Order: sequence, then structure tokens, then C-alpha cells
Amino acid sequence: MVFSSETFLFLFLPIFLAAYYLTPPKWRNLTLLLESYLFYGWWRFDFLMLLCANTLWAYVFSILVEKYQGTPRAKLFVAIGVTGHLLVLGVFKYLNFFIDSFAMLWGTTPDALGIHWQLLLPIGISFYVFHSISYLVDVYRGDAKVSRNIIDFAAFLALFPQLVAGPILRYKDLAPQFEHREHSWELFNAGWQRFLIGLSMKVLIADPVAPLADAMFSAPNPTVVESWLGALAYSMQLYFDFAGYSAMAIGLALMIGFRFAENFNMPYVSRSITEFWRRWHISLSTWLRTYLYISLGGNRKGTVRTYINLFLVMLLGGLWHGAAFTFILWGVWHGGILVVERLTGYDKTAQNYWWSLPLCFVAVVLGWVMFRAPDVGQAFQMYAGMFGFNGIGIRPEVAWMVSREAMTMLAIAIAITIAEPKMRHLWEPQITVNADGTATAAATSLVKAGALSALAIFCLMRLAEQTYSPFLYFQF
Amino acid sequence: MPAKPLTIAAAPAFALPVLFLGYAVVANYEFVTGLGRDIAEMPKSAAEYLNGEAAIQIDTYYKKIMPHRLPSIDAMGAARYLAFREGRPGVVVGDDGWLFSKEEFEATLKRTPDLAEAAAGVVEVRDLLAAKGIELVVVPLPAKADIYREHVSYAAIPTDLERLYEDFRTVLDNAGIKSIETRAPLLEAKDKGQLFLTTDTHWTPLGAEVVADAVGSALGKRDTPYTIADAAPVEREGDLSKFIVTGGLAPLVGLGPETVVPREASAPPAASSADIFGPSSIPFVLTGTSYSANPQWSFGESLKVALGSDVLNLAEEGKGPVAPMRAFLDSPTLRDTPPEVVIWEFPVRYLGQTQLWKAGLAKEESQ
Repeated sequence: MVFSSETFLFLFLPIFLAAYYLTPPKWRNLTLLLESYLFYGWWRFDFLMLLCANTLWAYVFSILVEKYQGTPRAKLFVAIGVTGHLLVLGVFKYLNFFIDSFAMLWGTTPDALGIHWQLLLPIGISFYVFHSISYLVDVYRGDAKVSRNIIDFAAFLALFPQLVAGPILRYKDLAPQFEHREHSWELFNAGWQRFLIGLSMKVLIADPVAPLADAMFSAPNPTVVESWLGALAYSMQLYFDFAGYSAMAIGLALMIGFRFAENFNMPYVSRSITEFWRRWHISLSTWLRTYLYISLGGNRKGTVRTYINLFLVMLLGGLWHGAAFTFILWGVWHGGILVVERLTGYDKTAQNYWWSLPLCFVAVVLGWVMFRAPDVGQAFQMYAGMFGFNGIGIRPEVAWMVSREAMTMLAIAIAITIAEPKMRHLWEPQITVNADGTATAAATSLVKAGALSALAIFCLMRLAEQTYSPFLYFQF
Repeated sequence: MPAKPLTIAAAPAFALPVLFLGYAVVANYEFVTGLGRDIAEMPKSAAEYLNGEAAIQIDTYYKKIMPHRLPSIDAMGAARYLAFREGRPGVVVGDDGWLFSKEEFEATLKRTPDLAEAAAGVVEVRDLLAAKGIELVVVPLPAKADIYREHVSYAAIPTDLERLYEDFRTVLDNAGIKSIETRAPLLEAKDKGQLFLTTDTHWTPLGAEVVADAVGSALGKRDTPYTIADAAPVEREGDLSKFIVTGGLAPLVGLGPETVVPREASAPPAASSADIFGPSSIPFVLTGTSYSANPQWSFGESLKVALGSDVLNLAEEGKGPVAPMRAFLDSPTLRDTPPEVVIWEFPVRYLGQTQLWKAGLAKEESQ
């Protein structure tokens, strides 16, 4: 189910909220679990079984790890547990890719080899597998207490606001919230506002800009203007789509008393790629650092090993997004730049240069081209265009695809991105965490309520006329 | 849930979720009460619910019955047209209210691979007909945007639109397939009247007549003296205007129905009674798209006059140019009463469709 669909907004969400708040607090996690399973099953109930099996696997192995904590058996069980999860990910997400690559290496096709399985990629698998792995490793490291309550644990893995596209959460951060959540009108309303802002980012900006990116990426031999326009449009589409989704997830969670960590922090104002990864998909970079970089030795094994680890983490981070050479090369691009930045000390001095911001933005946009292109060949076709190998201006056969609406929304997206550091407080709900751990949200002014109402109406009107438009990160 | 009492000052904060959720109750009332009525639209099998197909169907149904859907589509369409002079995907808005199909523009980006495939496809049809002693004549129709490029100034009409038409004719010539020159006569006839509707993909009866005359000149006129007369005018809401706005808001943005005067051809009584004693072959079969199939354009009627002969019109709407030809090749008509000539009306914009030559898959985007 997509947050930006009528079925979710008018059917699932009201019923879910009513059921949740009518359930006695003691049973709310069960309600949350059942409704989250319904949310996931709406896509395919048969694949819900995989999620349940994954949950059971992590639950059982976490108990075994805890039972043998401090003994070699704990290491064995955590290894088996993590390997099991990785196998699931490997089979459903990467098997086809490896078979295709193997066949290509031998100059043949998977069909000719008789090993072409058409496996469907279960939606959200990358996220719930990462949640499970982090939980097992945290229990093994002693960073998290094991969950004996399978309902709470299953509800954590299936928690519908984050189930299919993150943010990637750690059980230890949410465990207290499964035991006690704070509910108030103010927080509910703050969550509602956050959800609406996210919905607007997706429906009013990302979706209208998408056709421009699609058109430019599909144009053969794009010129300088066409390729840069496409790359810029996709950069904005991806940000507003994914950050919009994250805002909706955070808002939904807030409506039912959960507080998720932020997943984006104005990434396009970064001055280095190092800073970019502190601002973009923060939950993924945190996960990669905590569970991959540190497991590989981090910076504890010498300078050369640190660079290798950094590079490897980004390469695997690229592969996490999808089984394709484009994602691997995108990871290589970011990993390579991270290494160079650390090698030269640029990650620390970038703040001193006026040109560091545009330079970083261009590097990010160049990376998105590889990320977006359907294959490496087409990505290089775009690069050829960006560097002037196919002419300069927009060609007549492409000009008709450059819609004024998309260009206007692209300009608005860029303006918001530029204004965000100074103006974000205007549209984001202000939540204060008190000394006792409780939270309060600032009151909503009449003007803000009116503006949000207008946005909501505009979103619903636009949704009414558009067809199915899933979030970009659903494919990962 | 409330930890603190609600106050008037807090009202703005809650107005939005209350209004939203209140509307959800109204919308779902329609959903629940309509279920009984529309139960036939609901998925039935357990497998559909298991593999997610049911969810897609329910999503579609649910979206369709939302009370705000149609007013929203109209309002958004009107606002977009007024603010940007644009419509939803499928239409290219030109100047002076002229609308064009997106397919015409898409065709130019993909012409090279399609032309080779098109030539092979047409040759296959030609050979099948030739084996039965039937001549194939292709009537390539240029894009509306090619004929009326002065109305698409902002979008800078691709020069390829013209080249696409010429290249298609060249590959047909190279394959030894007879084709009719239609672009030049249409361009020459522009001062006689409007050859294409302003808000529709299709031609007017005048445009159809110009092309019919070109076909008649190329194939020679036979001896049945058909006459043609205007029928009752009909109001037509342009198929392309539906990509902008429908319903009551259309006049507000300057869009409205166009008037079409169809034509009817008739032969002298002696000629028309010739075949009452049994089936006999009609010399010409016309096949193709809605340009031929829709009686409002009267292409078949104009062909009768131009050819001086009856014409059996087997064109179909909504299937593109290839599927109706395939249907004809499989039909009893070809087996029992084969014609002498098959006229194949073929808009060049279809050459941009990647699925064109996959049996029966080509679909016209707009009707």
C-alpha cells in the first residue's frame, strides 16, 4: 500500500487510527502488528509469510545469542542468524543478478543455462532484513536487550510507517517505545502536519517533476541542456520523493506515539560528500557505519585499511540499493570520493571554500545519473551529453517533452532546497523533548493551519487525477 | 488520549485532521453503500487476494468512487490549462487552442528502428495478399502536427515529423509496395477549409475527402457514379480535449465541442441493386484505424465517390492500423469474397509504437 493513495488515506489510515486508539493500551502493539501485516499483505499476502519467517528467525536466534552470551556459541548463533537473513536477501534480491552476470561472463544467457528463475523482489525486504541484522548484532554486542515478547518484536519489524522504505531503525532505540508511548493531541497533530508536508513533497513536487527526468533519461544521445536538465530533475525528484516518504513515516509514527530519528537533513547544502552522507538517508549511513564499517575494522586497523573499509562500505551500500552494475558504480563513485576527501583532509576544510557547495552538488548529481540510468551504457550516454559530446541546446524532437508545469515545479523544488536552511522551521512542526523524556509540540497558528489545509486539498486533487505512483525507494 | 483539555486557541491545529477524517467517513459511506451495487467489480478468487491482484483492483475501484475525484480532475485540468497551457500526459497543447496527440511527437524519436520493422511487416501483408492475386495499397497519413505545424510554434515541431512520413514512403517504395502521396495534397488543400479538427486527433470530412481524392487519382476511377451529400451535423467533444478537462469546466477554459458534418455517398439504384441475388466481391476493401472506421469522418464514403466503386470498410476503432489488417487476413471475407485491392490507411504516428507489430497489441491512445 502506498501512503499517497486514496486507499491508504481514506480507508486504511482512519480505520487504523480508530482501531489503534480504541484498543486498550495493553493490546495496542498487537493492533499495530495486525494492521501492519494487513498493510504489507495488501501488496501480496503470500510474501507476508516471508516477513513472518524472517521475524521468527531473528526472534529465535536473538534468544539463543542472549542465552549463550559471552561464550563462543553466541558468536556461532549470531553468525548463523545473520547468514540466514543475508541468504534471504541474496536469493530474492541478488540471485538473478549473479546468474545473469555469470551467464554474461560465459557469453550465454541464463535461459540457455537453464537456470533463469523469475524471482519477485519482495517489497521492503532490504529494510526488514537490515532491521533484523541490526537487532541480532546489537543483542550479541550487548547494545540491546533481547525481546521476549514476540508481539512487540514482530510489531517492530512490521511497523507499517517504516516497513517498506525505512527509515532503517534499531530495535534498541524503539524498544522503550514499545513498552510505553506518549499520546497527546499536540503530538498527534504534529505528526499529522509532518505527514502532510511529506505528502506534499511527494505529490506536489516529486511526481510533477518525474516526467521531466523520465523524458530526458529516455532521450537518445541527449545534449548538454537535456542531460543536465534530466539529471537535475531526477536529483530533485529523488530527494522530494524519498525525504517526503521519510517525513510521512515520521509523521505517521508520531500520530501513534513513536518518535523516529530524522532521515534527511538538507543534504543538498552539503559541502563535501562526507557531509552529504551525514545528511542523506541518515539511517542507512548510520547502519552501514555501525554494522559494516565497524565490523570490517573501521579505522582501528591502520590508515590503508581504513580507506579500504570506507570504500567497501560505500560499494556495498550501492549494491544494497539494487542488484545492478549501475548501483555498484554509484557506490564506487561515492566511496572513491570519500577516500579522496579523507586522504586530502578536504572533509574537514571544505567549509572554508565558497565553491565547495556547488562542487559537492555537481558530484552528487553526477552520481545520481548512474543511480537512475537503467544500465551503465545509458548512464555513459548521459555523461557524454553532460560533457558536450552531443551538442548543446534542446533539440526540437525533445522540446515538446519539457513541460512548463514540470519546469515550474523543478524551479520551486530548487528554491525550497536553497531556502530550507533558513525557512524549515516555518513548515516543520516544532517538538520539544522535555527533561522527563516527554515531548510537547508547539501550537499551530491559524495561518499555518490554513496553509496546510490548502496543501492537503491540493494534494488530494492532484492525487485524484494521477495513476499509481509508488515511492522510488520501494524498488530497493 | 487527550492529556490536556482542548481550548479554542488550539482549534486550528485540530481542524485539519478532523476535516480530513470526517471526509473519509463520507467517502467510505459511498464505498460501503456502493459495494452492493458494484459487487461485480470486486475480485472473487482467493488467489487474487493472495497475490495482490485483488488489492490493485480494489485500489482502482476505490479511487474511482471517491466523491471528489471527477471535480478534482476537472479543476486540476482547468487550472493546468490556464496556468501552463498544458494537459495531462497524452496531449501536446499548441497555439490558438489547437491540440495534438503525444504519439505524433513520440514517433519521431523512434523512427529508425520502427521503419525497418514496419517495412518487413507491410511486405509480409503484401505477400499474403499477392498470393491471392490482391493488390495492396498503403495510404500513409501524415501527422496532424506536420500539416498544422504553424499551431505548435512553442514546441518547435521536429523536422523529423516530415522526414518520418517521407522515410516511410521511401521504405515502402524500396520494398515495391504501392503507397499514395497524401501529405502534399493535404498541405495544398489547407486553404479550402479545416482538414483536421482543432481539439481532436482526427481529420475532418474535408481532410478525408482530400486523401480519398488522392487515392482515386492514383488508382483510377471506375464507372459507378456515386454522389455524396451532407448528413445531419453532430457535436463532438474532441478526444484530445479529454486530456485537458471534461465536464462543465471545459467552456470556462475555452474548450468546447466541435461540429462535424458527416457525409453519405449513394449510388444510382441500378448499381446498388446489382448484388441482391447473392454475394459478390466488392472491388475495394478499406482497412485501418479510426480515421477510416469512424463514420463522422466519412473517409469510406469519400472513397466510394473518388473510386467510382463500392468500398467495403473493415477498419476498426481503437486497435491501431495493424490489428484490423490481421483481422481481415483471417476473415471469411478474404476467403469467400476476395477484393481486387486492399487500401490500408496507416497514420505514421503509429510507427513510434514499440508494440505495433505484436499481434493485436497496438492500441490507439485517444478516441
